[in-house]
Amino acid sequence: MSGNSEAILETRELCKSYGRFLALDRCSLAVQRGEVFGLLGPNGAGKSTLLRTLMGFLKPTSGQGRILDFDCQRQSVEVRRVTAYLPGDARLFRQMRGRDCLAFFQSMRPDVSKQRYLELAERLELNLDRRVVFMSTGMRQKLAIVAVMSSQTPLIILDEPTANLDPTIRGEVLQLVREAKQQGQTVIFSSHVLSEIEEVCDEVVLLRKGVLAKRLRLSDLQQSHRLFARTCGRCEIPTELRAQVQIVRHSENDIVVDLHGDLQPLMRWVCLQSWSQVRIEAHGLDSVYQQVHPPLTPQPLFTKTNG
Amino acid sequence: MFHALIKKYWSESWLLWSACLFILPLFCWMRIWIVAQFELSRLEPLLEQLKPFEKFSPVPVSQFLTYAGSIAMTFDEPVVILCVLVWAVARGSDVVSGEIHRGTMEMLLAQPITRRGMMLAHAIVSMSGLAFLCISVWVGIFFGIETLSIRETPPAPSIQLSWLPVEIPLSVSGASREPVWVPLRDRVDSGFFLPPALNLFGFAYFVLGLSVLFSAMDKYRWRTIGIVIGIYILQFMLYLLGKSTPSTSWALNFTFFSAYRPDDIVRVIVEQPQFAWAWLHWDKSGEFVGLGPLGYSMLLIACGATFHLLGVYYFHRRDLPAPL
Repeated sequence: MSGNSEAILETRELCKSYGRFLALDRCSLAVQRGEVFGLLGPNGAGKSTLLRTLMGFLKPTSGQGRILDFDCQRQSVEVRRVTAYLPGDARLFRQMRGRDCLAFFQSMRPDVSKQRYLELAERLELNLDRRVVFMSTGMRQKLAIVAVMSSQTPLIILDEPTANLDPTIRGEVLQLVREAKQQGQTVIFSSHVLSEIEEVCDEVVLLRKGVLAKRLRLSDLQQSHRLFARTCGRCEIPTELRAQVQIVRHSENDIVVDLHGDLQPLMRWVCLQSWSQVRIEAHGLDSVYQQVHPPLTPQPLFTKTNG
Repeated sequence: MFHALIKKYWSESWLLWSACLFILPLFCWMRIWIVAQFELSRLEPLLEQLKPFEKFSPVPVSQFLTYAGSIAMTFDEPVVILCVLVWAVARGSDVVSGEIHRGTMEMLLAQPITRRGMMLAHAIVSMSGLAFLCISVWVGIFFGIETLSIRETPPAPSIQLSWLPVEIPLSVSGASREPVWVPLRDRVDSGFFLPPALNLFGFAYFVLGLSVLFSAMDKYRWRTIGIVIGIYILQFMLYLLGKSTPSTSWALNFTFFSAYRPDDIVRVIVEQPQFAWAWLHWDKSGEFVGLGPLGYSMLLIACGATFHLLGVYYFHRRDLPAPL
């Protein structure tokens, strides 16, 4: 592995295949200590496969992963000692009461304190006296989140933690992620929900068909914008602006342009163009996501108005 | 940590175990009570009618007219077999495919425990549970023998003259003799049934090991149970085939039912008590017969342990599928 001393997690050329199907294709990444790292991708992109391989649930076809210098395959127990993991579809022991369930996880992990999990359960409005079997899907998810987030491990892996949660609790979970970061814990946050990733993550990778398709820092994204306009002719980008301006789509009538960096010098050039109905939007994760995963049906740039 | 795992497995299984533990000794005691209701010597005329079915029996049918023989049949009772098998299949199938099927395996293995440790904790609960169930069978038999009495008609008073090899009855009236109550413990030693109890443990452990192996390979518990029950029935059919005619007796070599022989073990112990805990058995003429009571039990336990270890090995190497 590359000796990235700040990285808490590193993978190198990690592959996982099921017969001919390549679920994870030469995945190399490093996650820095103390950051919230987002994993983004549609269903089947390989997010859970990557996380489950890191946890030692799946044997990689080739390549390797390390967490805090522990090999994810050969030192899987050590890896799990320093990692708290919330599965994508977390299910708990049905016959236990919520309280017993948390006590069980506490007895499995010396770093979990009873006071901490009771505090978290109260924050998430969880009834611990109810048996898991009688809990709703959302309550079970909350119980699993409490079990995982009450741990003081250096690394927390959350695979779609906010699925099945109402907006209030969802916000509370995101707050817990921020607090974990403040306490120096590293969080890997896998989700479909772009706004959540934008809200809590420092860095994000986008997966597509098992490949790490794009990696970006969210702080860089805030300096990017997308421009939509009606046009009636061809558009030429001056050489000195080519690093900052990128044409995404150019049809006979419409143009979509990505603008990177300070907007002030770019606006002068925009004003010189013979464009109409100009609209500039902050370049959200959504547009990056759509670059990697184009929508199945092309979206109209401008909605038609009557007359 | 390990203690927490054992506690978890125990909390999942105590209800089934308690139910079996309640049924088994009670049933065994009741069965001995039923045996004690009959004066077995009076059933001798029935013996001739049972002769055609003797080939299906593990022991000569005449043994069933002895108290030791008829009590040994407790180990062949469907209730006893069913209870230990339900425990073995239920616990064995639960360990891997059960957790995967319920979707709890990921949360469990996300904790810092080894897969081997998890299997070991499960094995401790399943095997000790099974051991106690088998002991409870013996305890039921023990209390039956210790607390019950049988009716016996005392033999007619007679006299034997030292120079004549015949007994001369003293009663000449021909009046019927009154049966008397004799404690069952005077006729049967409850210790005779300890080796068959171990044999029962071996029999159930074989099925437990098999269940663990298939559970470790599968992700659906219902399929694991189906496969194990299928194998069990197939093995039983082989046993029947092997028993039915001499030309098909080869089938007995391919079924684990051949090693489950509580009736035969009791017969050996009654006839040759010195072989009660023997690995190998020689008959009274000194001819080698085969495995002894302990040998058969240990053969079953060794097979069960092999399946169990194969299950641990397979589970250690396999991928865990995502929750279903």
